[in-house]
Amino acid sequence: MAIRSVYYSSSNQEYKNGRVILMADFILYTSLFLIWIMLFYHAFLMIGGYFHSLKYREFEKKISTTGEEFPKVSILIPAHNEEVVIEETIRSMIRLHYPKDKLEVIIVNDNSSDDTGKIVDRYAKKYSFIHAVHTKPPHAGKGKSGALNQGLLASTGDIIAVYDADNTPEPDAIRYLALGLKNDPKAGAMVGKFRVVNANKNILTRLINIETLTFQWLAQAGRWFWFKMATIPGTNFAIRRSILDEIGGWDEKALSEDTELSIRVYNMGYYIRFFPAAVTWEQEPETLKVWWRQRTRWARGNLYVIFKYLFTMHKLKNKKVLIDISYFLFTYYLFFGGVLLSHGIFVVNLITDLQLSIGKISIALLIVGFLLFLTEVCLALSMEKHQLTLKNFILVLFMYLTYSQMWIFLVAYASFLEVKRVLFKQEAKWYKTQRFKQPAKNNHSA
Amino acid sequence: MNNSKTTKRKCLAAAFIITLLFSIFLSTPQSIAEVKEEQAKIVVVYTSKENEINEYQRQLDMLLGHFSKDITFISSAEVEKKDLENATHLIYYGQKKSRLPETFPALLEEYTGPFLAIGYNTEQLGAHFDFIQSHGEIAIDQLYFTNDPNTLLNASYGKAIKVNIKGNTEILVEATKGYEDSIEPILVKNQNHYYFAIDDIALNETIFLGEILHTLFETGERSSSRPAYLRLEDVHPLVDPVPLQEIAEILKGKNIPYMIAVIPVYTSPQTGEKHYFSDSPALLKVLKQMQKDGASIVLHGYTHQYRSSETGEGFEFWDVENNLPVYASSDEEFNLKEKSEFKTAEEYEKYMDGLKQFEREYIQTKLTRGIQELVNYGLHPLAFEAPHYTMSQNGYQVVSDYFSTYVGQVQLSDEDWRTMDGTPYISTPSFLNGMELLPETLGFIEEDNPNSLKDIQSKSERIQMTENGIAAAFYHPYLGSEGLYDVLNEMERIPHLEWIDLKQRDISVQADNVSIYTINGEVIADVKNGALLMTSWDFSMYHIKGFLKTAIWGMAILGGVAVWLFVVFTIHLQTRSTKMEG
Repeated sequence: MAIRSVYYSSSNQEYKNGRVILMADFILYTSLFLIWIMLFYHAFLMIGGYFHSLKYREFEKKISTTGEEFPKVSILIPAHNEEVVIEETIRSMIRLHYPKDKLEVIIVNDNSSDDTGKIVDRYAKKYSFIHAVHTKPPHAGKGKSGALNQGLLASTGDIIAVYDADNTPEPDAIRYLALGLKNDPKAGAMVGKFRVVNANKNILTRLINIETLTFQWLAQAGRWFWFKMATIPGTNFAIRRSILDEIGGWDEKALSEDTELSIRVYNMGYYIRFFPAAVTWEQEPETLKVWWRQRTRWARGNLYVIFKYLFTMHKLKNKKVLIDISYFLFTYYLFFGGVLLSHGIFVVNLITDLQLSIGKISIALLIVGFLLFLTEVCLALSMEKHQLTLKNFILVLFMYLTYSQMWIFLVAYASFLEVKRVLFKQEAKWYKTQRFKQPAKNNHSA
Repeated sequence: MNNSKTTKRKCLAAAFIITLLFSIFLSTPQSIAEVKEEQAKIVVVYTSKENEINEYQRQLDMLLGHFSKDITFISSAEVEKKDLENATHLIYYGQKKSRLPETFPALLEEYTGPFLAIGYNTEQLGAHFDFIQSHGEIAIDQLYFTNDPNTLLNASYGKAIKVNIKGNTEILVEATKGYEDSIEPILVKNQNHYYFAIDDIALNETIFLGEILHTLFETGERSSSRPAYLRLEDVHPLVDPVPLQEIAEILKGKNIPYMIAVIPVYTSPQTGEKHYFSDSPALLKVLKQMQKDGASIVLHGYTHQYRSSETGEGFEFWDVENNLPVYASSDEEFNLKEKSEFKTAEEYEKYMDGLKQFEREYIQTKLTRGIQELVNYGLHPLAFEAPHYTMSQNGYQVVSDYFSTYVGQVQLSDEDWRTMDGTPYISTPSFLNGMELLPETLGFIEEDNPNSLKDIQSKSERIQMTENGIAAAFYHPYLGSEGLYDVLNEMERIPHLEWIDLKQRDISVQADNVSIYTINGEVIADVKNGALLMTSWDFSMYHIKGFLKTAIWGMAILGGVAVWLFVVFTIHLQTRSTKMEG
């Protein structure tokens, strides 16, 4: 007893300081591991994406060579006040290389107050395979899911494809999606690739272009290659009617209908195939404000999914979904937390010496981390023709410090909104206002 | 023919191997010597101030420890017949002139073995020392062996007892006596009786006495080799690893096994901040490499300080301010109470026991922690050296529970830390409670002291007066390699030098959850790792941090590989698309 006082009594303060330093070390290491688990997962996915970029053409060839019958396809296009873009979309539908007797394009004019309905009607008169569905209250204004369900009711195809009203698919897109499903019975849905039509508009759209290419090759292609998984996006995908019938169409109450739909497809034992041969072109936000709103909505949707499934994991029939849920969990909590903590440690260490034990390796990690980002993005760009240009390369360097860092603020803001929503039970209100004030991401055409 | 030849050869080879094995097992000089040592049972009857053992008896103890582990010290006031019964060698040390008990001569009557008397009162030893007649104290200057007048050494206290010899008595050591130009007999021999005419003895005296004792103990032919060691001193967590490594490489190149006196904690004198080896990974790496290359680790205290003073400068196991053993915690004012302040002797004893208990626990805590901490780093201490060589007798008892080997010089009295001395030979004195003492005899290079090399030289000459006294020096590695070369040159000049390798000795180190010992030159560390890690959060942290560091490097390397992979993939895709377009 007395002995102990010999050591500790005089050094109490120092002992406390030691604890603080130890704590700082601990936080730094934890955040580094969280960040790097994520970086390695991404690198792993990117490798899968690379292999898929080499491999998917085999599937493409298989489809092109089989001279079998075309399945009946119904394309659903929900449109709410889309007069600016809808005509171009309809024209691209007309250009599709698909037997028109096997094709129906159903444009759901969802409670539009502009000329959308008139334009659609005009084309519907002219082309027999184009149909117009005009929704009126009380069946109108229920968001995208509601519109899609209205379209589904009017459709007759065995395969249902969905396009946003601002999309211009390439002529072969539907052929790839439909024949893809026909040739792959285990696939419940077939997801195509989207490209940015207004990529060269300004720096923001250029950055979005780079981001979406990387996302698709890394996350979609990579996950498909390794896990036979992909997420159904809002557009340019085809799904078996049988599935939609069984699950009763789209869930009109769901916050993020895409993720929900994906999970339900998995639960039925199907997989979702990413097939980059089916290409559509879509418009991306050209101002930061619109971009911010759109991304906030996505982030909130993903946060909602984590909340919903994290604690009901045991109910999931297909455990594969856990990969995605833990991915979201990592992205939005752990990786985000890791970044915040390491930034915090960095700032505190500028003010007061924390005597971090990590040493020079931290610089090596910074450099390797940056190089990983750079090479992954460049690899993704090299998978598209004429995308790995000097200009884009410089943009990627710039992107790391700007566009990518905005993600931190985005997640912080989305988390704040979500916490607020849960605390004040604002669920329903949020969904509707958001849908009506900012109907999807499609009212900003060139 | 051929067959018989090969058989013959085989037989010869077998015989050779068997002989070799036998010689290894049975006839190493050490084992023979040990057998002899076991046999000698030395009884020292002493007469001193208040009949208590003091630094002079312990000086003798250190010398005798070279010849036997079985040494008993008995005060002439208490000695009984049975104490002498099994004695093979009897020594009377009359350090103070005194009236011995009447019964004393009768006790010695039957004894016929080798008998050494030192100092006063020889006339009261019956007829044993009739061949000398003492005439009181005289001043002397220098001692030398009668058969080699060049072997001059100063008498430590400049005094001796004037004796006249009679009959067939041989003078082995003499002393010069200043301006009087006379010569005095100091060490004389008559059959198996020896007399040494100096009462207060120190290192110089034991040089002469020790050489003669080899005859008294009949140690037989002595090996021509001279044991030696070099110790790198005060290696604490803030020592610069660069010169240390340089020194390590020099010593490795010369194939010299050496010791490193390691202090696990450095306390900054300004801030009081503590530094550990875990904070100095580069240094730790060098130390581990040194250990791997054959160096032996010596625990040189835990912090090398008690009150707030710089590590390496301070005392850890002695309260210098009060010139007392460590009887209270460093932040307490301590005043030792006098015996007269107590009503009864029991109360005083109880008080002193309490203080000693404090000291015991203090040392136990530090040694346990020191050993465990080093072991946790993968450094295996094989011996102990007290900071500044200072420690109480009680302290050495505690150390002997942990270590089998003590390195350096020894504090000989609890009255004053300055009563510190060495001894010429490797020894197991009784007051070290079984520990083997590897004495330091040559000193060290002192910064800013131009004479320090000369000091080493003269000490080296002194130790060379002995047949196989140990030549041992220490060196502070922060002084760089140049000074080391000075010391090494000085030492390597000594003929028949044989560097001590602690690993080759019989070593055992014990602490909670740690047991270190040597078998055939190999260090075996028997560590209960799980339990050791549980004893301190710091121990686990060291390994966790090590693991994290490795993991982080692994991450960086793996990340690098991924980057390389992506570059290759990108180039592949680019060349392919160029081909397709072309």
